[in-house]
Amino acid sequence: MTTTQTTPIIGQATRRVTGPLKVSGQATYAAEFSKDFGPELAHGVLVTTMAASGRISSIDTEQAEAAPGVVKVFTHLNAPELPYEEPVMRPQVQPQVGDPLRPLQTDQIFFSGQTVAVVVAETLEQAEHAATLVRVTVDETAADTDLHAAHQRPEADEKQDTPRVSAPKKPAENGKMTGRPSDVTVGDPDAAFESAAHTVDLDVEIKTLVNHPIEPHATIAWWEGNTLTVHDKTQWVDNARHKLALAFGIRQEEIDLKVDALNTVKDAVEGVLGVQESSVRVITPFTGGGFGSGLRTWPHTFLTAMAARELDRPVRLVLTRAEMFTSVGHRPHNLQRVRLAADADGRLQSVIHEGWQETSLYEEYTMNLLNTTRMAYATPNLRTTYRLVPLNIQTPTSMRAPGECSGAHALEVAMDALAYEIGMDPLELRRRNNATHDVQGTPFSSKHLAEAYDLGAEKIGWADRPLAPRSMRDGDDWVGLGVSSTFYPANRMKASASARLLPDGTAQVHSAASDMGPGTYVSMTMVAADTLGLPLDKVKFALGDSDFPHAPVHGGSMTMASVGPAVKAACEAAIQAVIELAVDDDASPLAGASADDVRLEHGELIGPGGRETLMAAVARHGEPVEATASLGPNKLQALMPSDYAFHSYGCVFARVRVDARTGEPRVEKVVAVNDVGKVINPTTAASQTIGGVVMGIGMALMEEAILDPNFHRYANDTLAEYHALTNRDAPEIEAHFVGEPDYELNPLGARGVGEIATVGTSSAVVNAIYHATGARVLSLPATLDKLL
Amino acid sequence: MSPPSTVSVTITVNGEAQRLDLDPRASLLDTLRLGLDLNGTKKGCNQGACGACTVLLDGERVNACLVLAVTCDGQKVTTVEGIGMPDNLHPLQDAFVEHDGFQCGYCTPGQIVSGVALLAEAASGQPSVVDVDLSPDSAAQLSDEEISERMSGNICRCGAYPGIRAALRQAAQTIQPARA
Repeated sequence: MTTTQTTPIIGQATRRVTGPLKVSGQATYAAEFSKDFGPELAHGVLVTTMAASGRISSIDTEQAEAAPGVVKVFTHLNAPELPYEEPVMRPQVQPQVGDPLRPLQTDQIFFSGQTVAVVVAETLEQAEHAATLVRVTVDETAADTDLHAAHQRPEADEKQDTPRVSAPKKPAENGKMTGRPSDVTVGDPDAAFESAAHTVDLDVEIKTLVNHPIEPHATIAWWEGNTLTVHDKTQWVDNARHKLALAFGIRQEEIDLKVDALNTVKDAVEGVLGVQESSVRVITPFTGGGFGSGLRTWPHTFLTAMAARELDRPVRLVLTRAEMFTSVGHRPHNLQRVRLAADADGRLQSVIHEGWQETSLYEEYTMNLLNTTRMAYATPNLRTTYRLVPLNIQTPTSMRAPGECSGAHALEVAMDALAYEIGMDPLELRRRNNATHDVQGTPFSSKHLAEAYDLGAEKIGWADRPLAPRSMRDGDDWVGLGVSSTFYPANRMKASASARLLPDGTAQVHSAASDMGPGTYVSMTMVAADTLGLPLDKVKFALGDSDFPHAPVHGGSMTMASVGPAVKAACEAAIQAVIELAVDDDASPLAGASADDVRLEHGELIGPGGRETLMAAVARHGEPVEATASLGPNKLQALMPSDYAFHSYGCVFARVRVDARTGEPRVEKVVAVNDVGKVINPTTAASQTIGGVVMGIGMALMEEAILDPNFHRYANDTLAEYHALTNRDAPEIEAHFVGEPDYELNPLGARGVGEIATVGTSSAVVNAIYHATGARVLSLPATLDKLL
Repeated sequence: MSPPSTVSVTITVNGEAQRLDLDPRASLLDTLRLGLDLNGTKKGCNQGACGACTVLLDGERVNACLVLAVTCDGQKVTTVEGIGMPDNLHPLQDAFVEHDGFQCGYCTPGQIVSGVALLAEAASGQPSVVDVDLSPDSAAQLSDEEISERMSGNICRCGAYPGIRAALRQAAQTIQPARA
C-alpha cells in the first residue's frame, strides 16, 4: 500500500521544506563547506586599491610574504595568465559589449576598490593581517565619477577615445539582442507635447543602490587533477561552471554545448561527445539572498579557483562587507527626464522619457530602464532615449527589477504630478490610461490591473482620501496616501529537470536551479508532488548542482515560469514510463491495456481493466524509474516572436506619516496587489511581495551609496551607514493577488513574483509623501532634509 | 613583529566545554565557524551592524563578530545549534517556519537567537526606547512596536519583518521565557 495525495497541492499555502534547516542554522551556504576540509583549507583575503584610475607602478609584497602563516601573495606580476575564453554566446546577465574584469591580469585600475592582490594564508586571521601589509602604488590618472557633469557632454563618436555619453552599442545595432533599444519613437511626441492641455516635465535622480544580501559572496574551490569543484555564492550554478571552464580553458566543448543547446538533456549531450564526467562542477545548495548580485561570476571566484590551482590545495575566500560595495555590482546611479502630456480628460497624448545611466569603463551594462514606459500606459505618441555614461566605477549589475525599478519610479512619480496638474485623482488618471497592448501594438496575454486597482483602493481606504496635498494631519504628523502602478515583464527560458521514482514510494526531482530565498525548494516540490499525486513529504527536490539538468538564471522572476514547467514535464515523462512498464506487466491490473488508455488521477493509474497506485507499480518493478524533460524557449521569452506581450501588473498603495517638526518620513502601511498569473504557493508569494515592498521602501527613504567626489570611493561602505530597512522601519504590509493562470506563457500559468513588488513601492511612497507634505521629492532617497 | 602566540581558553559552547588554543585576533564568530565548525552563527558584516552573528554570551545577546574569543575564557556561549535542531525545534524556531519569518535564511539564526534573548529581556522588565515611562509592565507586554524595536539589531535583507514580528508574537504567548 503506497500513499497518494488526493487533494491539490498547487495553490495551497505551504510551509517551506527548507524551514527547519534554515531556522536551526543547518542550511549550508557556500563558505560553510569549510567543515569538509580541515586544516588543508587555505584562506584568501583580497587587497583592493584606493586609487580610482591609473596603472599600478609598484606593488610591494615582501612584508606580507614574510608574515606568519602566509602561503602566497598573488599580484598581476606573478599570477598565471589565464585564457578567459569568450563564450559562443554571452548570457543575458553579462554585458554584450566590453570585457569583464580579469583580476590580476593587468596593471590597469578602472575604479576604486578594484582587486589588486590576493593573500593566501593558513588561517583567516593571518591572511587578514598580511593583506594590510601589501603596499600598492598607483601612477594615478584623473578619474571621473560625476554623472551629472558627464551626462551633459556631447555624445561619443568613433574619433573620440575618451569616455563620453553614448547610446548602447549592441542594442543600436540590434535591439533584439537585449531588448534595450537606444531610441524608440512612436508618432510625433514633441508636437503632441507642445499642443497638449496639460503637461509635466520632471528631472528624476536615483542614486547608486547596492544589493547587499546578508550572506556575503564567498567561494571555496579545489582541484583534483584537471577537475575543478567550487562552492560559490551564485544564482546560477550552470553559468558559474561555464565561466570557470572558459577562464581556465578546460574541456570547453561539452560545457558550451550544455549551455548552447540550452539544455538539451544532459544524457543527450554526453551521448554526442562520449563524455562521462564534467571537469568543472559548481555546488551551491543554499544562496543567502542576492537580488541579482549572484547572476554573474565575479573576479573573486576566478581568483579563488586560480589560487587553489596554483597552491594545489582548497582555498576559501569571503568578501568583506566593504568589498560587497565594489566587487559584485550595484544598481547604477541614473538621471531621467520625463515629460508627460494629457488632454483635458486626462488621456495621455505624449510620453517622452530619457535616461542616462552610469556604466564602467570596461563594460557596457544595460538594463530595462525605459522598457516599462513603452508598455505601461496607452499613448499615441512616445519617445524613449537611453544613454550610457562610462565612469570610473565597477560594472553595475542587476538589482531586483533592474531598470524597471528605476525607470518606472520616474514614470509613476510623473504620473502623480500629471494628476495634480490636471486636478484629477491619481488613481483615476491611471485607470483612464490603462492599456490593452504595448506601444508596438502587441496585446497583453492576461491583464487584471483594473481589479488590482479596485482591491488596493478598498484595502488602503482610498475613497476617503482628499485630493489636496497637505490636508491630512494627525497630531504632529502630516499623513498622506500615495499610489503607483507596477509592471514587470513575465519571462521564461528553456529549463530541464529529472524525476526519479523509487521503489520505496518516494521521488527525487533535480534541476540545476537556485533558491536565493523565494522558495524554489518548496514550490518545485509542490509542482512535483501535485503532478505525481504524492504527498509533499514523499518528494525530495534538489537544486544548486551544475551536474543536475540545466536551469536558466535564477533571476528576472522566471524560475517558477521556467523550471516549474520542466519539473512538471519530467514528472509526467516518468509517469508515462511507469504506465508503459505496467501495461507490459502481467502482475499489474493494467496489464494488456494500451498505454494511451491509462491516466493518473490522485496518484492512481486508472485503465480500462483496473487501477493501481503509481508507486505500487514502481515498487513491483523493483528498480527506479527515471525520466528527464526540457522545455521552454531558447532565448528569453521577451525576445521571441510572439502573439502576446507577457507582463505582470499590479499596484502599490502606501500610507505615510511625516513628522511636521523634523521632516522624518515613516511608512505606516503598504498594500500591494499583483496579477502574476497562477500563484503556486501563496505563503512564499506573499513573502516575496512583502520583501519587495521592504526593499522598495528602503529605496524610497534611505538607501544610497554615497560616492566621495574627491576619492571616487563609496564613503558609507558599511551596513551601519548604508541604511537598509530594519524591523522598526518596516510597516504593516498586505500582499494580495488577482488574476488568473496565464497559460499563454507556460503550462503552469505562473508568471513569477520576485521583482514586481519592488517596482512600484518607491514611487507609491514618494507620491504619498507629496500628498502628506506637498513636497515633490525628485531625487531619491527622500531623506528628511528634502522635506523640511 | 613577532608572530602572535596562541592563547589557551576554555569556553562552554552549547553546554560542552571546549578547550581551545586561539589566535588572540580570532573573533568569537570565526572561532565558532572555522574552529568548531558551528556554521549556524552567520557572518554578514563582521562590523556589528547586521546581527547575523548574534549569540548568547552568559545569557546576554552579543554580536559574536565584535567579541574576541580569547576574552570568553570561562564563559558560556549559546548558538542557534544550542537552541534547537531540525528534529527538535524551539517553539520560536517553529513559529518562524509557521509565519514564514525568513526567505533566504541567512540572517535567520541571528534573528532566532535575538528573539530568544528578547523574550527573556522583556520578561525581566528590561525597557526599550519604546517604553517612554520605562515601566517593566510595558516592556513585558511586547507590542508589535516593542518587538520591532527590540529586533532592529538584526537586518533581514529579504524583508521578512512582518513574519518575524508574527513569530515573536506567537512565541511570546506560548513559551515561558527562561534565561539561556
